[in-house]
Amino acid sequence: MNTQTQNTHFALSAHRSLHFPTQRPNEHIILLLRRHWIIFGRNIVHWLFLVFFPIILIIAVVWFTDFSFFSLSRVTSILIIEGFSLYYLFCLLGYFYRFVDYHLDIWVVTDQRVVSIEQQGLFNRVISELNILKIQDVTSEVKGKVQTFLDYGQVYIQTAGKEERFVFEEVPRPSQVAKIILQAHDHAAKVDEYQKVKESEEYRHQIDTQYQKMPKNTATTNTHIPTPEEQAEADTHIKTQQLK
Amino acid sequence: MEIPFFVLLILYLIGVAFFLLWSFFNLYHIIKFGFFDFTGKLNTGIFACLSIAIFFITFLLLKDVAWLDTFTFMDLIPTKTIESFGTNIHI
Repeated sequence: MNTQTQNTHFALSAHRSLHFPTQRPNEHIILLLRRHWIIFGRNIVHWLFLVFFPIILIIAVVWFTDFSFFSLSRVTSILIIEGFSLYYLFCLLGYFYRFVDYHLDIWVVTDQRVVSIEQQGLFNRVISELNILKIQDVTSEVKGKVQTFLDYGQVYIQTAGKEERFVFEEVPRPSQVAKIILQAHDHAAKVDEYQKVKESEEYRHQIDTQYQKMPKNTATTNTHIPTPEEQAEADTHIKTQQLK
Repeated sequence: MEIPFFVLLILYLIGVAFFLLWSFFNLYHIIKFGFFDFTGKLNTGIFACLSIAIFFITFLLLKDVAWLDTFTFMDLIPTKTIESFGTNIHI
């Protein structure tokens, strides 16, 4: 088994049980892609900073000043507890919101089409799709040190006509993704061609069956080809009729 | 002017209501539109567990507060700060 076949096989077996919104009944997922984990990792670092910053600040204030929590009035204590509680609840919500945004941005390559589902905020959702047979060119791009080191980048899909390029942003292993998309396109083209041939054969078979079912004398009448003498006689007859 | 403590509780609960509303939107999106796979379930679980932990700790710290008692705006200023200004208020 060569590397390309292995890639396709891996992609197919990895997503066999998955389903995505707007999936057709006879449609099979070949690739399901999200942004590289490092994109979400950046958010985690930002979130950890937000979580630990107040704690570090309080430790610093207690350490470097003569501030004591025991000198606080009851109302200040309540305000601090409630403030901290809400701050950490909203920090957590921010994390979950980022996760949902990351998790819902997906690109799906199926045996019939390429689908891009992008969640822009909580109430904006853009779903665009492209027939896999319309693909003309697939380009992968790895830009910069981080992308090269972690092997992620962009995949551009060029379609026929003046349509815009379809872009997979910051997906892992872009060159392999490009190969798999092209393989899927080739496979879909072969299947399409096979189906066309099959349809034309079926049509021919239908015509033949109809012809065989027809009564023999009708068939003979319909298929009778006049001899040159008969044709000449018929022409003479028509001319005589016209002169009269 | 005296303000009852439960006003602070109401303000806190308004914040909690916003939190719950946005959490609902996020959960709805991940279940309805997303792939509720292992990663989705794991992160939703972490989010739910940490939220419950924060609520529980807040409850433990605030459960003994007499919410019907009152406070004034002067109670918001720490005692030491007042002393440092050389006044005799609320020492």
